[in-house]
Amino acid sequence: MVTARQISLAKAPRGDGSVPLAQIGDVQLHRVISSKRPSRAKVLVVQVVLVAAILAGWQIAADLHLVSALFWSTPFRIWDRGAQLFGGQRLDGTTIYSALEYTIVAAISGFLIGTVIGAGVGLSLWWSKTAEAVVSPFVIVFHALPKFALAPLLVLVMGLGMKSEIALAVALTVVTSLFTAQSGVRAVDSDQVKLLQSLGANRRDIFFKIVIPTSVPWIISALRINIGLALAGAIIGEMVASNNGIGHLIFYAGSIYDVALIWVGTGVLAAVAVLMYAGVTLLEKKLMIGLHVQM
Amino acid sequence: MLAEKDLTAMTCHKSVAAVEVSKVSVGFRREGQQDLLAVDDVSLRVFPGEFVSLVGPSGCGKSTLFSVIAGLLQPQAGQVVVEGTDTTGLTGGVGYMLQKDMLLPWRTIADNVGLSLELAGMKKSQARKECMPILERCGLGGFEISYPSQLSGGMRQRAALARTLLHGRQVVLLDEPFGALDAQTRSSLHDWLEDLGRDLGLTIILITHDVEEAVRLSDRIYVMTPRPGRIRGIVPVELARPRGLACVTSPDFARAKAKVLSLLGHSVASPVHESSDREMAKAMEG
Ligand SMILES: Nc1ncnc2c1ncn2[C@@H]1O[C@H](COP(=O)(O)OP(=O)(O)OP(=O)(O)O)[C@@H](O)[C@H]1O
Ligand SMILES: [Mg+2]
Repeated sequence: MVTARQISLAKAPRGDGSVPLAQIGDVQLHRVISSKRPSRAKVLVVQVVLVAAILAGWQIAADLHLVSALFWSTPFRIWDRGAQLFGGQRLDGTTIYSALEYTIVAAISGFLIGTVIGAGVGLSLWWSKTAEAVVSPFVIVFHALPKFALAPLLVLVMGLGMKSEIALAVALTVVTSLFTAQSGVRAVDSDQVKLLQSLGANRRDIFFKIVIPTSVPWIISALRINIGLALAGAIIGEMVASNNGIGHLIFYAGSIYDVALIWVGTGVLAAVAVLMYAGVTLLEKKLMIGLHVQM
Repeated sequence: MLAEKDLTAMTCHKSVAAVEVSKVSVGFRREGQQDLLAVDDVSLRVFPGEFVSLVGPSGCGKSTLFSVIAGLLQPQAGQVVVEGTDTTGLTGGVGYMLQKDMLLPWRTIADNVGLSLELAGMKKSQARKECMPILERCGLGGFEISYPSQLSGGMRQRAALARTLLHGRQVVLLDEPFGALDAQTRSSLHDWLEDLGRDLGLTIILITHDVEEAVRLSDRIYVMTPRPGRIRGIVPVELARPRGLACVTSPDFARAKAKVLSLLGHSVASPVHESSDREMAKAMEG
């Protein structure tokens, strides 16, 4: 049965102005499934043109003294500075390569330690409702706290160097993985637990055969957020508590008004972030396929 | 009309009942609402080797009663005795196939079916080998390394059935095991289950909405009332075994079916007197 209202709706002109492709009596048919995908090459070309335009505009504006080259530097100066650094120039007792290595080691260590501890604690809270109730408010407070405020304290306790940097990265990542592990634990299907119990399972069996497999995809889904957080922790740590790494390089550049160097450092950081992100995304896919869960 | 004596003579092979449910009541606490009485004063007695069915309207507490028998739910009142042992609130004493297939999506079919063996301490590789015969018997040969999401609804149900049977308990509870199957597969599985039950000497309690299925398979059918679930009546089925598909056309079959339907509240050509069935139910419970 078609009601009068439905008929009038079918006849009503469409706001988006799309042209009906066919008609059955008074009823117009539209195609909502777009068959065309944007071609990759086209998108890439537009993107390259966009970046080139921005850089050219920047260079020209600086040459015409519309923006201050002293404060903003220029693309050519940044390029030259980058070439010097990657050519092996020593800066404040280090090279860009060792700074890069330092930052990557700190970020990845912080990422691994924070993720493992957070996930471990989050999962183990499944064993005791009391422990969970006791710990939960503290976790929420720690989650809400801006962790960078801890940096000076960490320097005092752990001294200047990579240790306090990693500690900051851990502080940032540990809460995210703890929360996601807990969400995973809460997502455990009580009927699956029932099934295992009916087959004579004890709590340990349920933990390893249901709780862990259910939570691991949750934890994995937090890895991408965590790699970004770990990198941020490492960089801030380097600015406050270290004399090595890309973060320190940027900080040092700021203190000597080397604007081009700030840009080089930022560019390198962006590249590192993208690579780590891509790496973790790949890892995530591999793990998810290995665990046979649909994303 | 059967007296208690006759029923006992007909069904009692050994003196100890395989499953004895006495005066079980289950209520659910609900936040902001009145508590819900799901099962009210239900008693059943099933003897070794018997096949018994439980039918009743949706939501009358059949699955809840199974949870109690399997020890997954503590009843507010009453007691469950399995093979002479009080198992109220204790798990692992009976095989239980839940209403949903509950295959773990991250395990292959073989690893799902072999779960009970793994839980009993067997190595995974050994458990995989052990479950091959039952997989073959359930028509799942060649699917052991598939994942549940790659199987049809009916295949998943058969896998769940295989898992329950491999658990190896004398008493098996089946909650709508053939719900998602076509009529033909269903019918062949009926024969198969009847044979298997007899070969292994299983005591089977089956929940079904299909009255013909209940009559086809059961020695006795318990009919429940709408919620709160009580036993409204017990219908014995006196058809010779093995039954085969042909039994469906016999007058005894039609009579039993009519009786169950009338207890369920459907109007049928030859009504039966409810009061007499109540008496029978009492006799059974007593
Ligand atoms: N955990 C629970 N909490 C609250 N109420 C519940 C719970 N489990 C079941 N119930 C209620 O108990 C009643 C009986 O449920 P049950 O699943 O036993 O019905 P059923 O007879 O198996 O129905 P169906 O034939 O549809 O499977 C229902 O009204 C249901 O809402
Ligand atoms: Mg049910």
